[in-house]
Amino acid sequence: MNKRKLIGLLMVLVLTLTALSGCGAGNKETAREQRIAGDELIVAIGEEPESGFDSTTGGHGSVTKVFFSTLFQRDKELGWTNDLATGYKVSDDKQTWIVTIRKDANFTDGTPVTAEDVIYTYGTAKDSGSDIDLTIIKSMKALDNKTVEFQLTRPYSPFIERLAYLGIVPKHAHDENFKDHPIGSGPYKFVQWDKGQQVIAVANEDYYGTAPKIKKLTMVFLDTDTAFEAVKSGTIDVAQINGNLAGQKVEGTQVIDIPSIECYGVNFPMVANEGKPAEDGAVMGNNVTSDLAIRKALNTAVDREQIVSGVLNGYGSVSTTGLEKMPWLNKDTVLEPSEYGDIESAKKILADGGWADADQDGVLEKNGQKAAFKLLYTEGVYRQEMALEFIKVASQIGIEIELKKVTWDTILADIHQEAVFYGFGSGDPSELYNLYYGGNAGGPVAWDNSGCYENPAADAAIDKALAATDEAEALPYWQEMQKYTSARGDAPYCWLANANHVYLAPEGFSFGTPVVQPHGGRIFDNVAEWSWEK
Amino acid sequence: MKVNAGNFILKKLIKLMTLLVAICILTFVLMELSPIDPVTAYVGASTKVGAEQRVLIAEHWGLNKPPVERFMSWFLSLMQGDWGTSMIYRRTVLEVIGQKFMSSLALMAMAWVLSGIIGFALGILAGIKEGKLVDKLICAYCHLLISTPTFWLGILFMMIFSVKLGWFPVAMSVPIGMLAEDVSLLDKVSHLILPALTLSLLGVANICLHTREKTADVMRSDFILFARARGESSRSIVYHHVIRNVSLPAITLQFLSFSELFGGAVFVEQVFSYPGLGRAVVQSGLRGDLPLLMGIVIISLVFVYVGNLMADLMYQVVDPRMREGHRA
Repeated sequence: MNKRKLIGLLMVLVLTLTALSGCGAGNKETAREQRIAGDELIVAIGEEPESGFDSTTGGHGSVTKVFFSTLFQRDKELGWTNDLATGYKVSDDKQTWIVTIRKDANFTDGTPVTAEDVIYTYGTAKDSGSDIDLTIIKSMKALDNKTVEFQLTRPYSPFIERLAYLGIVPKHAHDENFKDHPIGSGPYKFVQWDKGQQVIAVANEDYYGTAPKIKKLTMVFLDTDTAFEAVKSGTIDVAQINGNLAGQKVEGTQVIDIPSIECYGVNFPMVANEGKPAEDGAVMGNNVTSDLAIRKALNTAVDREQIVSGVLNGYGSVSTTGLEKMPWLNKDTVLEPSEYGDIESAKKILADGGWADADQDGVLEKNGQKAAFKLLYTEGVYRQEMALEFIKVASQIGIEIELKKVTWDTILADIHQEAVFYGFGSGDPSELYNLYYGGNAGGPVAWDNSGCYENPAADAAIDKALAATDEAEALPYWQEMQKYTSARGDAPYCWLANANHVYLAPEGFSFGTPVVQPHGGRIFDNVAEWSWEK
Repeated sequence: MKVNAGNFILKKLIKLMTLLVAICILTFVLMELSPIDPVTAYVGASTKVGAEQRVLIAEHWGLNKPPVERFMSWFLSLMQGDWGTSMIYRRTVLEVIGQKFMSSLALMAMAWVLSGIIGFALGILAGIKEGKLVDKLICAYCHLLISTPTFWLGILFMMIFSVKLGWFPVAMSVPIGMLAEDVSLLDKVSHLILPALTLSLLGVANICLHTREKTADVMRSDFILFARARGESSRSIVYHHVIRNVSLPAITLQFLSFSELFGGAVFVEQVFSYPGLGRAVVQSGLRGDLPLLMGIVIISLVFVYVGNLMADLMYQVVDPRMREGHRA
């Protein structure tokens, strides 16, 4: 091949590339303006449910609410409101829940939602071997076309949570192809799913609730950085980002900051290390963190405001209980701003507790035991930065903490004998049972009460709360429990901050009033309220 | 001759089969040794799923059985053509792979052809100009390419060509928000170009440098000297002598590059959110989806093996001396 031919070939290549490039670009402003005019929206929010949109086989989180409706849903303050249901009654023995459903709800294929559909949905989900835990249900039956009776294996007040996360599917249309072509009774109608890429939905004109303002909704599945770039280039409209990216100013966009109950904190092993193994063989206990003075001192020393402004860039709020903004919070257990970020008081607590630095190496000791332990953390937004801030403060009061990065698989060997950095906040009070119930310590699910906390008074309160008729009746018991589990009590945790959920969107876009966001997010819960202001 | 080729293929097939079994066992053992607990990976670090449900999940997917039993039942059903069901996707492994492999194939094919043509052309150019400025520039360019990580190059390309210049779409393989019936072939191609270009660039250096060496060798040989003495033009020399002699090793190399191509595609697909096999393999590994991972391992092994086999066959077909060698 001679030079001329080679140059010719390269020219052809370059020409092809430039010619093709025309189609990708489009005019970005016009494209978005067109979408605004037509009430269309493209979002990069949430993860793709790879297994498809069959709500009976997977917890899709909030995406469920786009195509399906659930019996109940959390209202904006984490209380309860009806969705498909018109109400519920609990029997005197607390083991029978009778739920009535509304008469005007139809699936997008035009058939009405019946009690049979509800029973079918719950039955299928229970047997699907997926991450939907319905083991509490013993049996179900339809009392009439619009009434369902659930028999529970035992009284369980948080049962309503189970009635709020399963999208109801039509029994008659639920077949092999359903996961690729879902039919629900939610605000949107399924149109198309390009696997691994995007889902397109249009407003369901027959929706029984408020009609969605956005008429065509496209959900794309991109990772945060790519999504951020795509919003900048005008390819997509809304993306979930983290606080670090929110600092960058992008012309024509706004940062939407939604309060969250996604709370981060450090869990301490609560018992001394006596070599006692957990069910999976991991050793339980830590001789340093089992000392109340250490835990109280850390709770007193850490400046949460510093974490909110420094690590979260202000996109968050202080938490000292892990339960701020939740209806079941015991307000008496919240630490006042004057009670934390106080190095001197923390030092005093340690001195009173018998910790002293005799060998002058900057690390305290007591009975020959150095005030040193490890803090295990896993990958995730903000986690490393918060943990670093935590150990920095600890070193100022003479406690030496070594930071160790692990995965949820490799953590298991040390989970009961070292401190662990957690993010919690499901917006479901039964989480308190997982976190603090003595019977969970060292059990089959390693991170349930991984610190092996046990206080009979707290356990009794949890038992009463779980066995209450419903969430309202359980409330005082959950609050009583916090007397023991808070920083004012046994301090099994040092809670740090709630991280808000941050979105990048063009000016003029509004989420309406979203629900308080739990860990993982529930942004789609009010998808019908999203709108373009014109 | 025909008997020989048949023998050759049979031998290769037997080799492939034994290799497949060995790789399957190895993959399975490695997954068993990894700290990933499939149930936990499936549920995620969630507190919402209690111990009772975890047992049910393990039962549903057969994860509660001993490893040897699990492997054997997987292996036996594979022998009957059943590749199992992916936990992540909740559909048969063949369905998942079929879907993903087609889009990966488009990407890899485009990259493969591009890297072959560009690399070969540049290599010959550098070889005949050995020691001159053009050669030095091409060599420097190749060395730069070799030491460039794929994903970094991908991100760089995306920043420049998609975000800054807006020439290409940022990600995915179809236009966002467009209904399937409205998507044209041109749309699909425009989504393919940037990832394919990224992937092809890394193959260029390999082909180019080898071709350059070989070309330079040929150019120094007696028969080129003889041809020059005969008064043949440069164009004729390159066309009649160089390309013939150089194309064989280049073609071989190009087929041998299947494994790098496959590896590179994993990174490129991650960067461009391209829905191919690359993303599926990452997911299946991290989330302990054994049937899917094993399926992808088998497919990729066959893919690479076919590449190598074709390179071998190419020798047999193109170069008569190789056939002689085999007979002896």
